Amino acid sequence: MRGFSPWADPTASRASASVRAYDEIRRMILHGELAPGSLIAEEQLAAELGISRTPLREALHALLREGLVREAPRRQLTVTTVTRDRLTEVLDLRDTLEQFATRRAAATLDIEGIDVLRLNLIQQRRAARAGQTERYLDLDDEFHVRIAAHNNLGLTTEFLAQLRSYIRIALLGAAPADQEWDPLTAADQHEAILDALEQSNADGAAALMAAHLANTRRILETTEQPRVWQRA
Amino acid sequence: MHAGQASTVASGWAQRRELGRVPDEARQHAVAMRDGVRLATDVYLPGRGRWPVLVCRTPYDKVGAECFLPDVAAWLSDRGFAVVLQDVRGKARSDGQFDPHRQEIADGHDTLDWIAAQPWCSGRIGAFGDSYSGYAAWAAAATGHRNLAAIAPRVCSPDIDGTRHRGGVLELERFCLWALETALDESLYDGALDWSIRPLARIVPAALGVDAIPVVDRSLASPVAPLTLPARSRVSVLHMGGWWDIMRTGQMDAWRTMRRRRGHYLVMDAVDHAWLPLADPGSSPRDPRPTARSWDRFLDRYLGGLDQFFSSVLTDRTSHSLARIRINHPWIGWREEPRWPPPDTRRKVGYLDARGAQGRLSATPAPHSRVAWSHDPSDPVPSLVNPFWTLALPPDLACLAERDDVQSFALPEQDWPLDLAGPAAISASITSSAPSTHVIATLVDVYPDGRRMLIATAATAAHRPWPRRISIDLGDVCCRIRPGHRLAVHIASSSYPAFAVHPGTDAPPWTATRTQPSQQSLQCGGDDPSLLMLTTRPSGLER
Repeated sequence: MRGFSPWADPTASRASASVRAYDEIRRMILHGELAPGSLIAEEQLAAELGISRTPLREALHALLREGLVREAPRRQLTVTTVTRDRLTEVLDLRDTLEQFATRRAAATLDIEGIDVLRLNLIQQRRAARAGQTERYLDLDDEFHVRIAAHNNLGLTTEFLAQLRSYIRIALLGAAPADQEWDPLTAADQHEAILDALEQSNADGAAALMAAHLANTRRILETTEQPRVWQRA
Repeated sequence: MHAGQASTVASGWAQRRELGRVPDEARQHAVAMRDGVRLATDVYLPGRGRWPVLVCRTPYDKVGAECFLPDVAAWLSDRGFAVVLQDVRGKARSDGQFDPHRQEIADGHDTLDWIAAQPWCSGRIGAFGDSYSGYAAWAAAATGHRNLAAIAPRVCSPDIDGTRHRGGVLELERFCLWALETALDESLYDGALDWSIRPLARIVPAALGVDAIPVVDRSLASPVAPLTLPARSRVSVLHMGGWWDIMRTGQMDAWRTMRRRRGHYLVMDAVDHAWLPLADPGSSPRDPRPTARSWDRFLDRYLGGLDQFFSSVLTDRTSHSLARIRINHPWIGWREEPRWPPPDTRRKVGYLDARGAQGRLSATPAPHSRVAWSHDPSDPVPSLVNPFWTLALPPDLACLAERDDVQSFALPEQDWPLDLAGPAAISASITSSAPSTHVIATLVDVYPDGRRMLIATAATAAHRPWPRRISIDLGDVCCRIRPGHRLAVHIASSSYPAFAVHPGTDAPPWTATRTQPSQQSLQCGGDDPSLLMLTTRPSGLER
């Protein structure tokens, strides 16, 4: 029972078990609850999520295709690690794709597309003020990926989501320790990008996006021994 | 949203509720108010073109399961309305700080401005909603916005403080449940409340694990003034309520002050705050959700009147006239009435008579008698009834009549029905050993097998000098006391947690920590009689 209705929540089981498992395992990987390089213990995971092996396998397959888990010897699966060389490539690709998507968005984003991003921004600031770093980073990813998604840039969206997941894994443990990184400042930068997009200012939006992205790059390059380099 | 985001609040036990998912068919907007704060707003369109628009603004998550508004939007857009659902300021996905009730006038106005400027808006707008959302519809109407042609507020009153404190006693349980769910921050919370905590002011903060909830303190410290319609307002209003709704009296008061205006309609159903229908006691409540068909049937019943009302006011496509007063008489059925109370009703008095083992209500004044009982604030009379889904599993109140601190007075059994249809009130002469006290009156339907089912309850605060003549307004009551049944009234000093318990001292009930038992007495008959005033149809007492 909840709120003013005596009936149980009917939405609780609307999504299929495999979709819920996919969402939850992906979240566990990006939030560092499943550590990079660690073995996926299927039986334990199925029990933890309260689902059977079949939907779990479907979820793991989707994560395998997305590159968040890897095949290890003896048909086992491990959580992906991101090496230093790989990270540089990831950041270069991300910067290129986001500039491309931002320029495109300045020409095509309608008010509905802008508003969806503004709603995301409200949640970003709430998470930032509450000190919910992982929640903030989830919203941050969603914000950037949606700029591409609203342009019907299907491949760009897919690649970008994957690249940003790799960066999340590389950033694990680094961002909260970084005293100079302030999510509220990042949210302000997001708002400036949005304002430029709303005014269809392609050059302005792309320049603001470039400066914004340079920040994460600087964090990764100045943080001493983030987990990724220890494990690689 | 995923399970990882649901978190327990530090040191409290209430759970933060996950927000619902915005359906794909909703167009999402972030609508800027005059101060730049943006409110999350979903638009559902029937198709291309311009449409009459219906707006509902809610603090309970516009896409949450609780209010099932996306289903409501789909139902209404199938019938040719554009539907706008909005999270109010500071709740769910909307920005800003939640300032309950006060904020809805300006935000309601600015939202209407935005809607009126959209290419899909025909220029004619209606506002609807239950409870808080109904209040938000009243607030929009109070602005006199020229595009707002009609509102259909349900189970709510434009006077929020007047429904919260009736007779000077805080309706504690529903206020606390509301505060727990809504008042802390932008999230919604679920959890049990520990009613043994004192002072009462600590009950909700304890569940949420916080020291104080500023919204709650402010709501009680500075009441919100009742909303009024501008003198020249031409907005049509469908006043919708239920005979077992906690807002019943406030809602009927509002209808009564406006009933002579053009375009005001009253619909009173035999339902509670959650729009659950009256059923035979003991029959299990029917969950309307299990199948698509049962859910559709529920929506047809729940929204049918709205559709008819808004179609006739906002569109040119219907010509049928609306009944000004439609009443679902419990245990009888729907009737159109020319007036309320109906013209064939009359006032009837039952004199409280405490002589003998069983308290009686007699038709003629009785000789002097007196009943006394003790009020122990640490062992209050339990209220048993859920304030919101009163009719889901209505409890048998017979166990209360057994208590020494509850006085029961009953009419004799009759072979013919007694129909209550209009205002009811108690006037009584009370004495207490404490400087002040509460008096709670509860009307019950006594079944032939002895079960006692709730009809209506109300409270008043009373203070020295004693004896004091008090009156308890039970509001408009509508019920048939069937042959073989009896009408009874329970008089007590507490009904907890429905009403704030009186501490027995001079301290305010909300913050009192020290309590003291007191002795109460009620004078019946003689030169200072106590009486129950009813409005009845002559088929009953007169025969």
